[in-house]
Amino acid sequence: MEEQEATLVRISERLQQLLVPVEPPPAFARSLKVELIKAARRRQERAHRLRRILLVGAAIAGSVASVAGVTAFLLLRRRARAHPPVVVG
Amino acid sequence: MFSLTEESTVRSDRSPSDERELVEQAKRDPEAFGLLYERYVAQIYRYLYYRTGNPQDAEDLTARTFYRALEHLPRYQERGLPFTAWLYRIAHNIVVNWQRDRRRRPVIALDQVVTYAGAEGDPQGALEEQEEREQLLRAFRRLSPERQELLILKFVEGMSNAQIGAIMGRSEGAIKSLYHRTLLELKKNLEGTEDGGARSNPGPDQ
Repeated sequence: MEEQEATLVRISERLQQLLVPVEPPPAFARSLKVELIKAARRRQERAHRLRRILLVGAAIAGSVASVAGVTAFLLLRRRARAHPPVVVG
Repeated sequence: MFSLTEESTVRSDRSPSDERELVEQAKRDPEAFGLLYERYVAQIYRYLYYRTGNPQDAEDLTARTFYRALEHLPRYQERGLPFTAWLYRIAHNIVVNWQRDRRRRPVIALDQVVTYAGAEGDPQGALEEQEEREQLLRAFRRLSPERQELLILKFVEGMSNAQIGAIMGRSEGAIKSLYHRTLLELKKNLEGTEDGGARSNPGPDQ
């Protein structure tokens, strides 16, 4: 049992020597950062554009709906005037 | 026995709220995403370096990890785990897919992994030491991805069992026990390698 524990300690020591920290090459890390920021900006611009399109679309739809509403109201009123209700009595 | 490295000590100094704030900012601000990247790129690169076995693939997969993180960040929600746990999950999934695509595990380029320093002026000793390292590395590569991850976080990142548990979604006790089982498996693998090594010259992994 003690022998096994000693072996495990030895393995962990060897692992510590083997698995040493390494650093990404600075040029790689820098260029990836630049690319990622560019990609993030593109995503942000796309999202803004989409939001603007949705906003403009909603505004157009709202305007069309209100013009249609007014037109319908005027048509109904004109029809009501042309054919006044008959009063009996 | 496993002291924290200077870098990981610095990392642990960051408060969770500071990290949370930066993550929230990074969802809206590309520059903040750049800061987030700077904070974690070395960790993710190291993890992928030891999982893939060579710097070129580590660079490629590091880039893929951060592009995916950028894509999914708007939907990221903090659930009590450190942000690195989320990044490591992405990196893990990417490396698993990459290994599946390659259909074979790559062999670690030993000269690139280990800065060899020992047995100066003793070529025989140097050769034996080199052979020992190669055996250990082969045994490491045969471990499950989860066990490799544990060893990378412990030795390369110098994390405590509690920190590793937070990243791997396990308790500190579970990590301690997993570590013990991993050492036992390594011991078994090494004994097998040494027996095999006496019979024939071992070829590359798979």
